[in-house]
Amino acid sequence: MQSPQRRWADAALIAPLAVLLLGPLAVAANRLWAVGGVDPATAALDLSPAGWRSAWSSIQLAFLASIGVVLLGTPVAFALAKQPARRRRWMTTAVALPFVTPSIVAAVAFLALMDVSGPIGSTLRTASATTLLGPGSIALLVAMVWFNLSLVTRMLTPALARTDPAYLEQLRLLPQGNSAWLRFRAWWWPVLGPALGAAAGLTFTFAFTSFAVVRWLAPEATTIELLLAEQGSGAGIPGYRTGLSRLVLGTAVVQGLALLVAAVVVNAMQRHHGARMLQTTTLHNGDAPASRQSTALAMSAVVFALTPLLAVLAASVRVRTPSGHRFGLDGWRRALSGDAGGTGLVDAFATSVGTAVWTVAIAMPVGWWCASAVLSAERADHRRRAQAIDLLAMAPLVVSSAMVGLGSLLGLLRFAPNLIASPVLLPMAHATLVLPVVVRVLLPAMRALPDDLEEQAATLGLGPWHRWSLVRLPMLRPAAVVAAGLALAFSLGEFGASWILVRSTGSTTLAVLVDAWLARPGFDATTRPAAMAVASVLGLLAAGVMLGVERWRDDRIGGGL
Amino acid sequence: MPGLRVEGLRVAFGEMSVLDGLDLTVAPGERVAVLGPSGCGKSTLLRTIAGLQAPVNGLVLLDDDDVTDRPPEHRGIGLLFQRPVLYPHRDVAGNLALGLPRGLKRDERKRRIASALVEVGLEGFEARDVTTLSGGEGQRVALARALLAEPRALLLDEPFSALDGTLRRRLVETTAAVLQERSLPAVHVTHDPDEAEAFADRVFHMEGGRLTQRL
Amino acid sequence: MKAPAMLMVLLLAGTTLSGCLGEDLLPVEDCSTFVADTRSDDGVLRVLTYDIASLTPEFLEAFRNETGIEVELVRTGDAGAVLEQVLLYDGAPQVDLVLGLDGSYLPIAVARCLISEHGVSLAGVQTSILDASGDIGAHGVPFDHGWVCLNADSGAIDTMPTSLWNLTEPAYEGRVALPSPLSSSPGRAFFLATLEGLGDEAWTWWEAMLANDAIVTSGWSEAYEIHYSGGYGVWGEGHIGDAAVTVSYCHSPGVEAYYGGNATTSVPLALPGGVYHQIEYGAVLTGAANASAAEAFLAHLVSPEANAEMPYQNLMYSVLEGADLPEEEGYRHHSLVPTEAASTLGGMDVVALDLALDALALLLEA
Repeated sequence: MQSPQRRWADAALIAPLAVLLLGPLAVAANRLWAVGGVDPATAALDLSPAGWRSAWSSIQLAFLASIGVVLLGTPVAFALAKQPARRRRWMTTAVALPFVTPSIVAAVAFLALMDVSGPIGSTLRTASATTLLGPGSIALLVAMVWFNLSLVTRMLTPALARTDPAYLEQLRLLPQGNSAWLRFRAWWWPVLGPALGAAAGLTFTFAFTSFAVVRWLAPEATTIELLLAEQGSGAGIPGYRTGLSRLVLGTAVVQGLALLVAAVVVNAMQRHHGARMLQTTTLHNGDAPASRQSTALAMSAVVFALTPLLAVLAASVRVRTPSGHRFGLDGWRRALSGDAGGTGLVDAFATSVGTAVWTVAIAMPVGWWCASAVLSAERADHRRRAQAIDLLAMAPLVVSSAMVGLGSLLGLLRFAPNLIASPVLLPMAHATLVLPVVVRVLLPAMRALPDDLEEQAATLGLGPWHRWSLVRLPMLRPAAVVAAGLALAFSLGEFGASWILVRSTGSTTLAVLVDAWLARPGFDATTRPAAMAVASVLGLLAAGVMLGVERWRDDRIGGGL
Repeated sequence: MPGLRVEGLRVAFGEMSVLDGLDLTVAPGERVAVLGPSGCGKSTLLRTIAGLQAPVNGLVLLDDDDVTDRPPEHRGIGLLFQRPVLYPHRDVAGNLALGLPRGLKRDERKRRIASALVEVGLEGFEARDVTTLSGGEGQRVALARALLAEPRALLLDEPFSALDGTLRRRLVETTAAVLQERSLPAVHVTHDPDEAEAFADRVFHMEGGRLTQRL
Repeated sequence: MKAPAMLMVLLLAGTTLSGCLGEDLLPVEDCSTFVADTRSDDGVLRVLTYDIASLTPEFLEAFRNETGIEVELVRTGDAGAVLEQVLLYDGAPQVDLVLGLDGSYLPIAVARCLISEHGVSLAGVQTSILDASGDIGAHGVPFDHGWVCLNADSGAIDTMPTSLWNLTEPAYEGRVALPSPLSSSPGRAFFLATLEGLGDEAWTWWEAMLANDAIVTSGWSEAYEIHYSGGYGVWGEGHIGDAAVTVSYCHSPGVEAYYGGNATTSVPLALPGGVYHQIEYGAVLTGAANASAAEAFLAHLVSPEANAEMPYQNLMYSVLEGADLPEEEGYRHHSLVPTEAASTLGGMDVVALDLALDALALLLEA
């Protein structure tokens, strides 16, 4: 049974959190409803052809991306698992680098990659994966897979690497395991299936809501997220383009439902996965040397992960001339000076870093509190309450950055217009978006701590504050560092919500600045390299944070992130 | 000639020779123990016979059938590991089911699983979660499973070494009795001489990659 | 599994209930009764604009030296986004001044009483521009202008089209790239030109263009950089190049030449019904905290030193008397000044414009 204080403390968290997360959305929905004259359910069911097209595009993209990630990620995870321990660690880190890369940097990276690869690049830019997604969608799918590959490797590789080979050897000697297919049914599928399901579900969510990459790689594709971000700010204005208000409301509802389904699936899979895999792993490290094929595959994955990022750097010094290209620092100079009305690189850097620090300052305590609340509810066997808090913390995953941005814009402007220019707005939006990540990393670590640890400390005479600071905190420090690092990296690279909100303020973040440079008419050949220069800085920053945090990460930190 | 026969088995890891022209014959129903300190190659011997390790030279024959080049899936040899290799995502019945041949009807499956559990003294354990079993119970499940597969020979890689005194002795006796009934050739490796005596008809020493019979 | 259901119910309930609380959100009819919500003046001038390049640090520095006023720029995406922001502020503006609304956007804000009349002297501005501005001139200060028209790739077409209707013929099937009037400012300008120039036949023309596989893009850059074969887009970077004709400015070929070493295959096409005189305005918002500073800024913007920079920084014409495009690198040579053009709202009012855009949206979706 939880103490009354605990329950009041939890209530003190839940109520404002729910208001903070869901409030702006509810207000925005209300406004769209009032302006469009149609309630959310009808808006979703009665979607215009443009709305249906955008919904279909999102679904196609997300579906294909999930399949791609699972198909490519599984062999890579296996190949990585077979590598010797030290090599495996840095390879896994390299393959995970794309995940923390800001989406706008990824978009620019693939643009750069295709620019420098001549005819192959041009064909990729114009090839379509499906007619709905249009030209560039093959490049888009490759980018999606690139982005999310580490979801599979992070979930599978540690477990695969430490699985006692005896499990498979024993199975080979039994009638129900004497063929590869039987072993797949008896072992691989039950053990890996949930993990792959979770990875696929998360990829679905990220691909469904991706903005920067779709915007720049497949310009003819209109997904729901694109529609919400690019056209959303024209909605909610009485007597002005009311059709748009209905469209935004309807597609937002459709997106929310799709993401809710995905989140529920991921949640179920992760509970499944965490429980089972944890029990089968031992501290066994594979001693058979890796085959040449595995090493080749693993190395290819590393090269695949790193090349686009290097291409950004290369493109930042590549300036177009009437006769071809030349090497030059013009792009960097323009980016730094921010001439012709744009923000300078340094100002944007300061804004990004400041916002990120505030985001971590908000998200970490809230996330920690959430995770603790879920855990204590679970331990006291209040399963439903635990699930409710867990889902609440996951809500932003269901809600996409464009929706958060639009929600803040339409929801807050109504009540506090001066807040729109406040420096606290962007960190709040980022913290909302980053919260699920923090909870997802902290919760498994908290779960893995033995319960009697604190009881033992109590018997040694340590009071509650000391128990927390001397026992619990140090043991959770690795997970906390990773969570903070991820929060920092994601805030630095956040694009969707920032793109919508920053338009009302005088400053801009690095991510939005890249987009601004790309959006300039390209008559002047230095705008493209300038965009690449800003993207390089942003990418290096995010990578730096992640690598710095990597020291603290060990295989116990799960959640696939 | 029925039973298990190993002739001139030679296994090497790189430069290091582990088994050096080893011979062994085990008649059906005969139980044989191999004694030796840790690391002398006892496990390697069993793994080679089972097919998990490829020999440089030599033959493995089962009932005059040359299985040396056959993969472990198709040799029909059972192996008990040092710790019970039970699959945590399946319950006891599910684990035992892995030992059953394909194509059995559900009733037949349940019947065989139930009788196997009775045989090892775990009646009624079908629905138990394998992670809640004790070491002894786990090995008994592993044994029952190995026997359900109706192997032509059974190899035991110190399966009882992690258990304590009374329990171990009881398990050794149970296993010996069960094997007695089925006239299977069995090879048990251990480092405990008493255990070897209690279990086997003949006891061998492993030295220099070969076996010498203990008297 | 109950929790997700609970969450959904909560969300739906929240929105259901809150729908009842909506106030009357319709715009005000009579501007004299409009009440603005002015925030306090902190001495900083806030300017809302899209990415207008001519607001260089030097310009802002010069302004500060002359008047002592600090300027803060708030940048949105394009003219449409600027308008939306003004409409969202709805009389409680967080900025003082808005730059970049042209004659098709500004009237909408004026109709909602969101723009106050200015007192800036327009002495140096060309009379033709003042005439073209009409009533809007009292609310907006013009600071640059240009003509939106079609551009064609002379290298891809043998005989140039002489009428808009040529573009609906088989020879131009799938070869015309049109930025959507719903999401692009030049696209919208072109749309207004066709409505005024083709009259009742305008809708027939648009239907015919769609039937002729016209490529409709979301923005100008997509049409110009990716589809148009006559512009700088041909130099790699995802170029498809399937359009020989697109919508841009009559002086875009001049810009091409200026940056491309006095050489370009792009040619301006001023077809009847396909030219729009786009004048961009600066305007002071109703309820602005620092209206006087805003007016000083606007006066500075139309001063000879600042306005002469327009062709270089902003790639548009200066509004001042006697100004023209520079002659360097064929900037002026490759550009065209059309003799007739549609302007402001193409003869409609804001309500009719909104309806026309909605009708076009339906047409494009079908």
